[in-house]
Amino acid sequence: MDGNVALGLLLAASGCAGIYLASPNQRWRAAPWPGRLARTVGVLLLVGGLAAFLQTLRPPAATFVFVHWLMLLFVLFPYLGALLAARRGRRS
Amino acid sequence: MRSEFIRIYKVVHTWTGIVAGMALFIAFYAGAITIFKEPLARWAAPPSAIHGTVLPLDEAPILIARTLQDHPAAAKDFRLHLKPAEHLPAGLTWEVHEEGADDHDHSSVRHYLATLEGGAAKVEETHPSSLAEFVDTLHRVVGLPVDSDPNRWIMGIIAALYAVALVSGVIVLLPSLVKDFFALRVGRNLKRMWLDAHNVVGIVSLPFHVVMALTAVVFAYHDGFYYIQDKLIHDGKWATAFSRGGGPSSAPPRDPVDMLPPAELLASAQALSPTFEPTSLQYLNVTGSRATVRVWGHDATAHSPRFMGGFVAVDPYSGKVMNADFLPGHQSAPNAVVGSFFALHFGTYGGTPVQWIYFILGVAGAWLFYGGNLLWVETRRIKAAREGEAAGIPPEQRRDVRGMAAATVGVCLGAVCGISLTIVAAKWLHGRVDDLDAWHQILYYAVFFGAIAWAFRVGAARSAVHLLWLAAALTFAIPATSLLAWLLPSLGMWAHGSAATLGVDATALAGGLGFVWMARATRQRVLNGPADSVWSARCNKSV
Repeated sequence: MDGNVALGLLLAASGCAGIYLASPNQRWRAAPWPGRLARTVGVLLLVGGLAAFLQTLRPPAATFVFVHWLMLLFVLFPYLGALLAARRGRRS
Repeated sequence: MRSEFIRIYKVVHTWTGIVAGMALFIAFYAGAITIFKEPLARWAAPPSAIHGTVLPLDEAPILIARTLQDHPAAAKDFRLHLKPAEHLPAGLTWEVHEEGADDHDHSSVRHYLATLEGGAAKVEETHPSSLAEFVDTLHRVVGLPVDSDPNRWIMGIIAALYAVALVSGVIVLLPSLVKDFFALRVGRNLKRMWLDAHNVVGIVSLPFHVVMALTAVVFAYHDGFYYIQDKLIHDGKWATAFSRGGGPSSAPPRDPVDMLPPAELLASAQALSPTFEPTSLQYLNVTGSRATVRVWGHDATAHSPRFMGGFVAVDPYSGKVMNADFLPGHQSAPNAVVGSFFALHFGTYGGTPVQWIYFILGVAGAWLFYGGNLLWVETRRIKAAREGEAAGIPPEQRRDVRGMAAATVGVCLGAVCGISLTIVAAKWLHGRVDDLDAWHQILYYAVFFGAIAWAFRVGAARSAVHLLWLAAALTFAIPATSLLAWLLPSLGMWAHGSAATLGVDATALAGGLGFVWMARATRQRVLNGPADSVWSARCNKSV
């Protein structure tokens, strides 16, 4: 995999995680991260991810990869949260 | 928004979803697998001396000349593959379509191969595995056996209902969209849980689904669109103007011996785009006045307008570039926009990472439709009046709800089981049956209809557990078959060692583990969950 694409995927994933953790509906932690700060850092990481994609990919392809990666992560994160919450529930 | 409007949209969403949901499940599950159509075709291809290698480019001109000397009809459309793969032969290939057959129907196509043998062209009919094509057909026409006009029109209706379901679903969700974004509440309120599980996928991947729905409608009715365009704009002359041969010509036939060697044609294409990786050369009408070679290939940095990638059209006699409208990254703005819709449907950009993203979004899409039906069933559940009453004689569930639950389990898990079995059959039945293509269909539909019959016979709860275990066993059989073929070559099967084919086995292994997890969780719920539900063994009844 191209290094810039790998970096873009990583930065965007980190940004999505920050945005998800700032949501009051997140289930990864007992309490959400401070909303404004986590969202701001998340958005900056997303911008960094898109910029990394643009180093290798042409703008339409970079945008498509970016948007689909975001959709995938934002679908998976709540399911992962539900699994973690269920596991915590069983333990307690 | 007024609540009565929301209620109307909810009814629209429910019924469009219910009518189209199961067909869409098959389309999405088969579509997710079709993203890896080439690895699947490679996995299913039996080993042979002429497959898995490429013809040296310097031998291509003489093979082309000798082949066209003996088989002039092949000049209309033949192909030279440039990348080694288990399913691609080292030679020239072409197809002959049955008279009157639909262009999209691959079941009636005859395949031919020309190779060099002692300086002469040896032409033979080949029978490549139709497995990957069959799974793609299931995807394209929502589980129907043949990609024909009527079946595509049915698919178009399903896709249109899908689009309506998406729009109405978003409207229903608008009042609570912000508050419930990312919410997936797992608890005692099962209706809430299924609703959240459905909404998370539907809302977050909405752009993906909108593109899929709109492009599917266009794919279904494109012949009709072209016909109307032809009559209204081109006075019925479109086909003549854009045909590969360019219509009748008085020019004398050209001699293919005068064509430039493939290396020079490739150089013409790569001079335009260094990131373009050619995969094959498609020669069209090489003895005619509008002889063309399409240099097909991929470019991971740009979006490709076709599932096979993109191409640049080159004059095979002069090397002059005739058309770059389909070359990824070099299209005009209007072509790039149109091409982007194809690319967004096929996932033909960004290379392997995007293929995996599409695979998971496709499986998530299948889950969206399955979950929608579960929600419909849960919403109509008749609960015991008091806590503890269900421990006695649970209330009987409505017959239509039992029917919907059984149909959902039978159709969806039947398709999953059928696809796994037909994949396994590619190796087990090769060389043992006369018409393997027919057997792929027979096995798929036998399991598919058998699963539906079983679900209605024993009820949704029990059959869900049985069919999930069957799905696990048949999906595990995919890598197990490769392992067995490797351990016992005397069985006459094969196990290729390329990353693409090992990827098929590894993915099936992961899929099998997923089905085991689902079977165990479902069994737990069927045996120990609340009895006042179609998903309880105690309430379980045939329909």
